[in-house]
Amino acid sequence: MEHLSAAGLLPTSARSLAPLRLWRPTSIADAVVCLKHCEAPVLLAGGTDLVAQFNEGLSPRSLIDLSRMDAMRQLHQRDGVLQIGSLVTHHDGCGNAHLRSRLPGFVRAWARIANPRIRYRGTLGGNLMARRTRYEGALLLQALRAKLHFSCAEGTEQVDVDALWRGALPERALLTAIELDTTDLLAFDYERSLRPLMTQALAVWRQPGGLQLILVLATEYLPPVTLSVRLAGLSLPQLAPRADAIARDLLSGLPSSFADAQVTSDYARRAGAALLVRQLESLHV
Amino acid sequence: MSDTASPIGGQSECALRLTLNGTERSLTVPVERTAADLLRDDLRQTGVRIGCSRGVCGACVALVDGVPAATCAMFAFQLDGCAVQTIEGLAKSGQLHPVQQAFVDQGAFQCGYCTSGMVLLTKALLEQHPQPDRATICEWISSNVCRCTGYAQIIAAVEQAAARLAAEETA
Amino acid sequence: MTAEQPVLQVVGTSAPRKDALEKVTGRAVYSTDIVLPGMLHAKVLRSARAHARIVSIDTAAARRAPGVHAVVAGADLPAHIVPFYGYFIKDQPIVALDKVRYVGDIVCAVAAETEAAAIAALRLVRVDYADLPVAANIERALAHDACALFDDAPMGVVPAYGDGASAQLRPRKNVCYQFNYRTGDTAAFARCDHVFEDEFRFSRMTHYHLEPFVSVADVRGDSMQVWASCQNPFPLRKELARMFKVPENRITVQVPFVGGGFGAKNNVKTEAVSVLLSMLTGRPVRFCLTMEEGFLTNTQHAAILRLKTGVMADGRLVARHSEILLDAGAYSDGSPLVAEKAGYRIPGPYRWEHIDTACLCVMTNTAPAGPFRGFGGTQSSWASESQIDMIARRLGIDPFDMRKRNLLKLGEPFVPGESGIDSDLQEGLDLVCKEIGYHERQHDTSGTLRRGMGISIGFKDGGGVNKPAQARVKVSTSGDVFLQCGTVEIGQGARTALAQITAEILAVPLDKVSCAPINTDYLPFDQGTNASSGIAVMGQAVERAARGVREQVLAFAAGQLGVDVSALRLGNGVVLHGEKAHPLAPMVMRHYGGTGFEFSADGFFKATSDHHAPLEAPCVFWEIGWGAAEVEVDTATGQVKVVKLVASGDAGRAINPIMLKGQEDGAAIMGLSQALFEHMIYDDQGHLLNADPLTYRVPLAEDLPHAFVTITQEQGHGPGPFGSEGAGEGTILPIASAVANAVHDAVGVRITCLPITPVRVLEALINQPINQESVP
Repeated sequence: MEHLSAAGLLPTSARSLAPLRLWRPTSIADAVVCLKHCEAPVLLAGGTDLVAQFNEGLSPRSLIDLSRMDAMRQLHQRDGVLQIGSLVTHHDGCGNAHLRSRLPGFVRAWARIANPRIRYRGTLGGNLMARRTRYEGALLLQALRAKLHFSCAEGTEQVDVDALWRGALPERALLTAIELDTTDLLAFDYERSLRPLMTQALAVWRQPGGLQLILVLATEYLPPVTLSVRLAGLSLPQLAPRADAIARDLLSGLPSSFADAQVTSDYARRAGAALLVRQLESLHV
Repeated sequence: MSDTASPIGGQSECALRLTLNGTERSLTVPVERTAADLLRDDLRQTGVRIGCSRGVCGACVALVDGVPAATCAMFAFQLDGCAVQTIEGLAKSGQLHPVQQAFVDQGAFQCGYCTSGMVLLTKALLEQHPQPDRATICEWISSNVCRCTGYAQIIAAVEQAAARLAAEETA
Repeated sequence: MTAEQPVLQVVGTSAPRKDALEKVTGRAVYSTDIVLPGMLHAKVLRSARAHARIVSIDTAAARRAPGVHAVVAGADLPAHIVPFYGYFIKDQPIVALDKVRYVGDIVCAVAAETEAAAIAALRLVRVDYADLPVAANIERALAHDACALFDDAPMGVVPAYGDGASAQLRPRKNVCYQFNYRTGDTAAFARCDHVFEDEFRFSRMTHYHLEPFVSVADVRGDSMQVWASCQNPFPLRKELARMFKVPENRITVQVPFVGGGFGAKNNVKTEAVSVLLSMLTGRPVRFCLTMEEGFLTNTQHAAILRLKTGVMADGRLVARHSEILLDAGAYSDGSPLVAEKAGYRIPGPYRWEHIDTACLCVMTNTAPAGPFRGFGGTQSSWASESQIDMIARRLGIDPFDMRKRNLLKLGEPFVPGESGIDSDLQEGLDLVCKEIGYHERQHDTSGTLRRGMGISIGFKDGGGVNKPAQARVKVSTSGDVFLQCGTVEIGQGARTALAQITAEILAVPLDKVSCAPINTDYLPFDQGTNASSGIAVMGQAVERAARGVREQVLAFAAGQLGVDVSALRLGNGVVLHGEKAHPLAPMVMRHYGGTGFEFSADGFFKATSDHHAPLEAPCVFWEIGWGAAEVEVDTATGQVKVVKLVASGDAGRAINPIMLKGQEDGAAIMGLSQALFEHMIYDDQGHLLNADPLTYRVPLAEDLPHAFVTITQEQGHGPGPFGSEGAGEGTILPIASAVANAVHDAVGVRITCLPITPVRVLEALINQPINQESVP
């Protein structure tokens, strides 16, 4: 429902939209011009989240349909850096043979989010730009240290994934691609057995002289929190025997403010540690 | 309104051509019209049901180019050039499709409101996975909500339909 | 048990539902599909505040908005109508008058050419509120300094009660109704070896019927036509007549298929707004709610249940003193009825010497709570069946033996003055225990994953109270049968089952029986589709009507054939004299000429009133739900996985086994959902946090337990046709307590607060806390 600040709640929906004007750019250059100059624009990718936003009161005047932006549907690799176009659907991304061999852990996780019906239409970019704490794309990509590529009329910009939650995104900009440099990625695992209460993505990175663990946790109502630790002198097989201590130490850094209506911070710390132990004990790339 | 450098385009209506249950249809719709409203109100496919109006419950699912899609979460213009199948397009000459028959035989619906979406979802599932295991069935059926059945008889219907379609295939 | 023929032909078969083709081809018509020429669309503005006085509303700009035909705020309600509705207590206004009492309370209604125009108009409404203190939960509402939701007493009634039962309106601030039941003597506690006091908390769910609340009203002059997604069209008609001062015979209520109700769709929901706007505009008006609005319209009752139970050392139950506090939300809706039932059912299926129960409806600044599948029996079974287990363990007795020692016997009255239990409770318990392997369960204490099993017997009376049902069956000369009764098809399959009963009695194939659409002008009266009463109550009316018309046909044929009526029987649409078939049509032609004829008979059923029965009439039947669960608890995360779930109800005689199984499955999964995760999350300011389909989690196919078995028992003791009784609510009742009992069995911790979340379980494993409600 839409919350009118003084008067109350309004049951808006797609049916209560004011007439929209439609633009269908075919290039990024055209798209950013639309974004800059159109009145109250909104971007349409798969559209699976957009309708929910109409129910929540979003009332655009301009609809920018990205379905003709083939450039944003590409998946390629150059010099060890992967670029996933923001319009790649969950279904197509998970079916990409190259991605499956490069990042099997990520693809396994990506293939579980939402449901089969939504995965056909939903895009990775749409999942991120919805900025819903219960959507899982951001968690996965944050652990993988992804960079988000934006274009706007003034130029391009790259931001970290957590910019989604800090309100630090460029204005009137188009997310064009998600970049993954996984040269130093040793292992990735996504734990979602406690969903929707909480889930966590673990990435293990090679570092000079050791390893870095990145653990990104999120609950249904809280944006993701990143915990990381550098472990000098350790290699991947040495994590499992030390799992209890590593997990306890890492999770002790979880802020006590990490609590919502369903999960206490104490629970997140304990259960997160228990899950992390299991993740460390069964690591693969 | 927009300032001087207005981009080209900006239509308020779209002309669309789609194939609905095998028949070509053309019409012009406002941009903001949803696919569900187009199907229900303009094309008289009232078997497309409106539940949550936000793409969650799946009651509004139709097959768009063979793929199950929540039509409440699509704009009508997105159906341009597509082959759309609604529940009304399944039975042939009064003969129920094997999926429909399986739902009847297994008691896989009660109030019936989720049924259009569930049947079409099942059809798409069986086209992707002709011999689905139970885990695959549960994963796919979890795309839609049913409040009445508790899903067990729906799963049984999917299994019956899979067997029937496989038998027809080999016949 | 009565059988019309030695072997039943139609009853007891899993015949395809009569609505199967319509529903599976998409041709089925629901209220959401009703479109009338010139129809306007209604939308409402709702309060975002949980409790506030309305200082002023300015609707001037809204009235001038394009496409708007009417705008109604409190001041615009016509003087001649009675703007309040409710069940026992008429406290809910069509639109808010002087104050709003919950987030979602309707403040202003608009009828316009399109939904978009209505919403655009509502955006222009200006409202000035003055906040009032919020009581968003039971404790806050009962606090000494709580702000009263109602300053004045709304109009209300207390029905007559029999021995031991009584009720009061407004016994204290923020309590709209209190039901009491007492039998035996408090002195019984003094005789007990132990007295245990425990408190239980029950969560609240939303019905989540997929078809929204919707109605279309067409008021012309003094005649009113309403299409509504409604479970009780006749009481709805009566309520509209009272509110709008229109005679009942100028109001027609029609109900197409209903896309799920589960108790939500009773009495007035959208209909007062659509009727009022149609009156004001002279056009048909459609008022259809979004699912988000549905969450704010009617819910299940959350509850606090405090049980003080006295027992002997050998496990014999002696006395129970219960205080049940139901969270009724901001308007009373069906709460007094639910209070009656929660209070009445708290003793469970056991023998007691002394029962003393008070059940209060506490008004809070949250969405109104009303009928929800289980209807108080869910709340009471949660508490009672959890405590039985707790007591058993404290006494060192196996929970199975504890139950066995105290179960009521077949035929034994539930309480003095009541009808006898019509299921062999022990038989059902043995069945579910056998299926799950309860007596063979192992406890492996190594490893982080621990398994355990729990059993439970959910309990409620069925068939409604004092509920009259009427039906008519007609037979045409070609042997076609017309069944006319007011039971609404909400998915439960009642109309198919009632048609099967009719077909059986008239010895015709099922497809010879048609079910008339619901229209209050033409159908005999029915009080409503509720209380699992379709087979046991309406079924008896249908049975009587069918028998009556059969007698008419046979008497007519006997006269025509010059034989004794006892020599005739019906078979496949003809009259049979020995092996000779006599079609009806020629006999009718001979007698009536070419004008044709229909045979017609009415049937009526109501449980006989009896002042000794606590509820003024003995309960028609007893709806028992036996449940057993095997869980695996992850002691590191607290997660509870249900490895196997067994649920069973006794239908007496299953009219349509596959349809019945669907109902038992659905109810059990609803119960499982409540046990583990599904609940409405209100904060302490009366805001619903998971107020939309994305964040409100309902069960999906992937939530099914790995092994899920529902067993339909047919013990045959029911009062309905062919020994049947009601079903459809029984298997929701035991699930939550069966899971809690299984968790206790697995890891030795007791969760007394729903849902049984990983957070609560882990907290209990670490701390064994006393107060679990502060834990999410």
